[in-house]
Amino acid sequence: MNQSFNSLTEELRSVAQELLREGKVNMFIGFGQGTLTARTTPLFISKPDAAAALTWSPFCSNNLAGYLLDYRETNETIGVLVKGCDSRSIIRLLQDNQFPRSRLVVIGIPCAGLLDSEKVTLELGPQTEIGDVTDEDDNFLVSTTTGQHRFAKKDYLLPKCLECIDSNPVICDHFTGKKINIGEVNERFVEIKSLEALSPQERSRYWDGYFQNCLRCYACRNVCPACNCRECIFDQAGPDWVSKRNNLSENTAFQIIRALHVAGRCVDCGECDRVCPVNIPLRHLNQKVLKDIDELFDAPMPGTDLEQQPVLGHYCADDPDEFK
Amino acid sequence: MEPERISLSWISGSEGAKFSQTVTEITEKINSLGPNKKMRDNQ
Ligand code: SF4
Ligand code: SF4
Repeated sequence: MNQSFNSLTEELRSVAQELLREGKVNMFIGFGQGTLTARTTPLFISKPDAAAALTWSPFCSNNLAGYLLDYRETNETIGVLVKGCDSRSIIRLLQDNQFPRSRLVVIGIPCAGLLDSEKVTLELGPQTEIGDVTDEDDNFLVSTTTGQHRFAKKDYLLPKCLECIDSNPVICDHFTGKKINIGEVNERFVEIKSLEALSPQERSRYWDGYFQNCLRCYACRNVCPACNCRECIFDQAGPDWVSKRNNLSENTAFQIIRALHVAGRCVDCGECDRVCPVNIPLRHLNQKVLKDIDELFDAPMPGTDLEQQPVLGHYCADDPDEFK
Repeated sequence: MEPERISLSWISGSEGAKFSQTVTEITEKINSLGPNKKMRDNQ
């Protein structure tokens, strides 16, 4: 379809500028250029002229929906930019009354996949500056100070993007660009099925190998829009549900609790997995829960439909299962 | 963790006998498995 990201960026800037100028939002949360190659950073703007600093590219990985939680207690109306996966977080936040719809303006953008910044930087070198990017369906064509580079999506996309189910936002007030169709994607839960097939001992070895490395930095929790408790169990001094000691037992308890606390609210945005500094495959934990939601409850991915009751957040008297 | 260490049973407040029997069975099973080695780093 040869969509240029610079032209989408222009369109986005004028949408944001207009919303700020007309006072429809007090703050717009989008992406700005990062200081490193192939990186972007969340950008918070409150003046119309600052919209010129907004950018949109396949390096806009952050799920910005989580920042709404920082504005829960204000009176400000917030405009937030979302991709398909991020828009599911918006729905889950609205369903849980974590943010009022009346103070929220959702700006949606179609997403043809995110490039893995680390892999691209290895290829281009850290000094290279990136200009425009063009979507060529199977590849992204990236123009840089050292010439044009083609990145095949199957090799360079983030793993979650290879299984994307919502390339267009599922909720938005303003749509930027045109709706896209990314065609066939990979089957979901393939890795989960192979983990399920392991014996408990083998599976334990798999996870122990990762959990022993956990730094308990809580980056995974901090980045997560589903982690929206006002007081987190991992911060409480008492009762001492999980000790703050860093060892395999406590790390394992932390990991299990984190994954189950976001069950039904996790939308597989993959942010926890992306930010973990020691590369613990957190998506495998979340996806096991998502696979169970799919199979045991026959429910869609959380956040897909505003009207659908959250899978662990409602009760019905005619529950088909018996109370055994 | 050995799957046998985990058990889930729905027992209503009026089912005293079922409760007692379930606890006895679980205790016997755990005794035969011996001490749990996982999740014990703090001890
Ligand atoms: S981001 Fe990674 S290292 Fe940090 S607490 Fe989460 S799992 Fe542990
Ligand atoms: S648990 Fe991870 S994938 Fe799920 S919503 Fe939170 S950050 Fe996103």
